[in-house]
Amino acid sequence: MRRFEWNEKQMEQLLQQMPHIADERSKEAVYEHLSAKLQKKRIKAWGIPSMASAAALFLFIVLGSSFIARHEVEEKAGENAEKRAIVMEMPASEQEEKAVSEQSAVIPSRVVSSTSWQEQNVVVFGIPDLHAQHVIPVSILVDKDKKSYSEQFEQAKTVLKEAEWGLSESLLDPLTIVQSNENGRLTVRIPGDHSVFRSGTAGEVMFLDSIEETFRWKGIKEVVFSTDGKKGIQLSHTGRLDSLTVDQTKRGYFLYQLDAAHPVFLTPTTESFADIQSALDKMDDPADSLLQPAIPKNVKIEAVRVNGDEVTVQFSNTSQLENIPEVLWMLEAILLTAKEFGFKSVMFTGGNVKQIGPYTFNIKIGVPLAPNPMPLN
Amino acid sequence: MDTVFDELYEKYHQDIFNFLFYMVKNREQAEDLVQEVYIKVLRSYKHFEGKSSEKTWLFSIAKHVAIDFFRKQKSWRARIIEKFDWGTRQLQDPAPLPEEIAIQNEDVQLMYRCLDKCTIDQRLVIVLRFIQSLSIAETAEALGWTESKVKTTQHRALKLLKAEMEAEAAKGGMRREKIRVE
Repeated sequence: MRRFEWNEKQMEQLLQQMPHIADERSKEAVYEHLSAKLQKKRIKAWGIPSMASAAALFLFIVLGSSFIARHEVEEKAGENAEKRAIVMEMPASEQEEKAVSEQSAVIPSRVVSSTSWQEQNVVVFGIPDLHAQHVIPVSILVDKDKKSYSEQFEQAKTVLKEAEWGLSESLLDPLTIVQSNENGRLTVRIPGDHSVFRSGTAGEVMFLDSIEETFRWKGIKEVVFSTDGKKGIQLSHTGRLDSLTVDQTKRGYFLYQLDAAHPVFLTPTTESFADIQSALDKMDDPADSLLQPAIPKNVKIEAVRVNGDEVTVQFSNTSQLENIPEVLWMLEAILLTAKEFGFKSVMFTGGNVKQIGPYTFNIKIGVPLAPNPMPLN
Repeated sequence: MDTVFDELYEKYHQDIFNFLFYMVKNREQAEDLVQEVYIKVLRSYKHFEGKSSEKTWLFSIAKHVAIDFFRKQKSWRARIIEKFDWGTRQLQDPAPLPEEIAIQNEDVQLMYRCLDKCTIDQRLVIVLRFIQSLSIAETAEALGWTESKVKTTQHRALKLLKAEMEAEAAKGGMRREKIRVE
């Protein structure tokens, strides 16, 4: 006979009797499925732009090859033995020098060097890339007459042009710095209608990473939050945070560039490394399709020697070190990596070169102040 | 294998799966959603600061995943209804009972069916409190609610379940009676 009446206690007991439903898949199967899914998510994000670049490359080849063909014909027509002889007579070194100065004039440096910009202060903003996977530090130069960090921060906000730079919108725009004191503690105020309160886990991660990336360049150790004047922030996925400890991480660098029409940014690795050698070892392989290696494949670092607060990086003589953007940015990525590990200067040796852009080999080069000055000159 | 994944799997996988299963009542969907939980967790794990317990933090993420799922499903259904002008009755899911439930006594089976009558909030509380055996405080933390909201929602849910069970049992009894008469 069935009962037709229950009391609340019996309801609870009945619920407690509900059988446990187990996931019948093995741990390995779950993990495999998961990593496939993580991979797929990434592919989705870059699939479209890379298809666009493939199409652009195709057009370039078609148009470019017809140009080259025509150029060859013209050259043949105007072929002149005398002219050739004159070119040959020009000293090889002069030709090279000319190439060097022309090249270095067009390659934009991606660091704020410690000697340049003495007239201005630097404010670093951590801004997510367009796919919201990495936070990229961008340096904005502001007038020296802005005394407090909070004033500098406000001025820097006005020159951010994320869309032009191939980045996502800065998540720190609505933030104000309330107080920053000497001992590395900083208080920020977040308006209650900030987009992070409506975003998913990824949005929250990007927000917190942006905060870390922005303030670590200022030597801040702890960021204290307030929302609309009340203590802390309540994030729906991460939970409630009163403050965030800024990890003093030691990272390597990769390159990020949305496409050829957008600037290149030196981007810190998400990983932190035990020593500079292991960081440099990883910098030729980002394992992430959004990023490019900072150390080109045909460049080999033969030795890394540490001596107090300076480090010597020796390239193998077979490395193809030329005055091209990739090599210049590689040197700057190494300089920044050295800064992460607390070194004051770097000496580059080997590689059969004396000079790449502004960097002279075999002398000490001071580590830069910050990465990615924007806007480009 | 990722060490974070490894640890989370050993400690919580079956609990999170069981929770999601009772929320969506479909094994395949629960399998998909549990993956979704891992994706979110692995991305934000380094920001987990130990201010809430790891377990309630994971349940809070699972809750969001489940709610997102219902939201998406609802909008799909709404769109289909709009397009074909179907009656809502046709869309009710006559899914067969999972094996684990089918071998239980009739009261458990009835309870399983009646869970559908709860609102999502009510179901969250019922599953966390009684099926996952979380305390009021843990449930409040996982759902981001106050303890009093957990208590009132729990009370309303139990009252509703009791009424539904009684109504269904009465109907079922009558149906059986009829069959016997014929």
